[in-house]
Amino acid sequence: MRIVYDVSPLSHPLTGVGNYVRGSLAGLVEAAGGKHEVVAFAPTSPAGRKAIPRALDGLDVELKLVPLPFSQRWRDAWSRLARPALERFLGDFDVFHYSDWMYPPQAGGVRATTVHDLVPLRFPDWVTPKTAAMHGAKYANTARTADLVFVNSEYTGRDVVELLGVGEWRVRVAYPGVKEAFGPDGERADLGRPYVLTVATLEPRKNLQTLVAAHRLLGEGMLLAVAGGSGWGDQPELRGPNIVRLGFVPDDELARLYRGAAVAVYPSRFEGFGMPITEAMACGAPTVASAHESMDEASGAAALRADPDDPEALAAGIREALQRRDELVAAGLEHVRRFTWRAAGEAFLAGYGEASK
Amino acid sequence: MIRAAVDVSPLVQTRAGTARHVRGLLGALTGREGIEAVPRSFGGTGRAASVARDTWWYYAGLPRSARELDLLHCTTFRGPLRAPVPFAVTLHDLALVRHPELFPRWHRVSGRAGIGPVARAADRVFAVSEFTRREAVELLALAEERVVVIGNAVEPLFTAEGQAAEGDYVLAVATLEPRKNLRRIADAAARAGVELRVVGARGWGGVETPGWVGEVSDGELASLYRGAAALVFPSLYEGFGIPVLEAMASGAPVVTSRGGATEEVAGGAAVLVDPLDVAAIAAGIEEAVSRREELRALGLARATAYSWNGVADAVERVWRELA
Repeated sequence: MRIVYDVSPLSHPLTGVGNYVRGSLAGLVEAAGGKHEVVAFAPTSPAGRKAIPRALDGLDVELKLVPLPFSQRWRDAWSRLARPALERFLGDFDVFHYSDWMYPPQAGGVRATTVHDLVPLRFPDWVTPKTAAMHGAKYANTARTADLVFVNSEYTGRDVVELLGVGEWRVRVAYPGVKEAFGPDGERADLGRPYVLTVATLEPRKNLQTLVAAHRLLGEGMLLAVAGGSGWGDQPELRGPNIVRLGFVPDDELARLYRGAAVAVYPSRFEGFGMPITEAMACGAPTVASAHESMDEASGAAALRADPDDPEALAAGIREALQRRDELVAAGLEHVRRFTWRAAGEAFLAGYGEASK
Repeated sequence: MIRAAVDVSPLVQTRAGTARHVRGLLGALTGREGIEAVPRSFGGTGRAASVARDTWWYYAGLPRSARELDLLHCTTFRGPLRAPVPFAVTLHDLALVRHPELFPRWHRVSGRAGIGPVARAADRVFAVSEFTRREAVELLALAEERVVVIGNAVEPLFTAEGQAAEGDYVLAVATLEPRKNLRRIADAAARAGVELRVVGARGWGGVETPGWVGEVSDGELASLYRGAAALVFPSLYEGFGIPVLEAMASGAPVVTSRGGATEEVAGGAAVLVDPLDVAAIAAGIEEAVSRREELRALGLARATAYSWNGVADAVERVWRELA
């Protein structure tokens, strides 16, 4: 098969979606094992022309970057206009797998995409109107035209069936893998005393107030370390004694922080999957995750769960995780072994194969 | 290719905060794909040159020098009222507007006359902290969406490893001026029973202090941070508070003011005190000494939240928007 994989999210510094695109493409190449041709495709700005090859460094794929200024607007227009067909730039192909950023038209072959979460539909208040409008059009197109909709969890899959009206037979799960940087062996961070670590870009969905309240219930001895987001920004909910804001931290440093943490906590109200949960477990941190069902699959039976709106419950979860440390660490390491990018790539290939029959 | 004229004249005028900001930013912008910073400056340190710069160059010479380029980036609040290309100015603090009584008269009059109109005329205003952004919106009546936080960072030579100065002392880093609260610092150090060393240029307002070392090189400053029992920085007003970050990067515990930019920059990794309360500052020093190892670890982790690359990323985003 000749598989065209849209990598346009990689033209910007890596975000959650970018990480998924990079990881799953690597998994796809690995699973294809040279038997299929994989083309990484993106219409991109001059900046992206540098960033994308860098992000894909070391991957055995053919790169097709079509240089275009004002790429985001252009991608949007192309997607909405629905012409010209992709084949014009790429020649014939068997599969086109598009990303979060665009849904350009194709004349033939299997049409596949990945949906990470339906936050813009479920919780329009949590995103900007512009994001909501862009995703709304994309979802409508996906529901109408995609042969295959890959999702990062069964939970997102149910949402896709329910909210987008996509038939179940078109929906398949491809769990995100855990990046190599996250492993149990390596240096451990030392912040001078025991700390609870949480990773969050600071937005309402991540629900930090409840964690701050829970942390207060733990008493003086425990520090709360918050990684993620910029080093600045208005974060009034994060002022307080015993709270340290670490700003954006790169993966290696984050792994070090997880290894040194007394407990990792992820109190989000809603996630498509919840990668920080599997990353924490992979580094050997006992983990407390939100009880919201969207995080069931990432948590498995290896994380303690607590109501994300109840500080008492969250504090109790943290205390229990401290006591049951060894047991939770072992369970976590065992649980995350199934989350590899290669498995995601295999799920892609199986789906493509069936859809092209 | 986006080409921006960047005002680098702070480099010839001073060694203090602004010059460091310009140097750090230029360094991190260099070699980025698709953008180029074109340095612009005028004259030297002489009095005549300074007057010409402030009265003519910023209003007419600088914008004209950007004519052939895509935009103009002013690294201080000094800039034109009109320019042939989109332009941005940078606010390092609003002390001059918030606390005019803490400044000499000439500064007060000339600075306040310029800052508001220039900031309102600019297409974007860069603020070094969220606190300064809020101050700018409030005091200069700027539209919120036009003010962008770009942060600040420290020179790479401020690290925990390296030579440490001898002695048992607390360190203050401050130009000798009223805003820096030096009298209360000295009283608090005396009350806590530790030696005080003060690094900084001679300022104005008849401020004198015991323990004054004068200006030192960055290398010496780093070694003073490393050897200090604590940095004592209970400033009355800061737009960012670079010494807080320098001390953390060098592994020194920090005592600084609650509220404002210093609390924001400290990010939970310092002892916070009321800067008007000598007893509280003294107690803060004692707390910093007793929690040394912990504060050191926290400070080192916190210091990584700020980098020149992060500042340059934020600046580049705005350039691409404006060009």
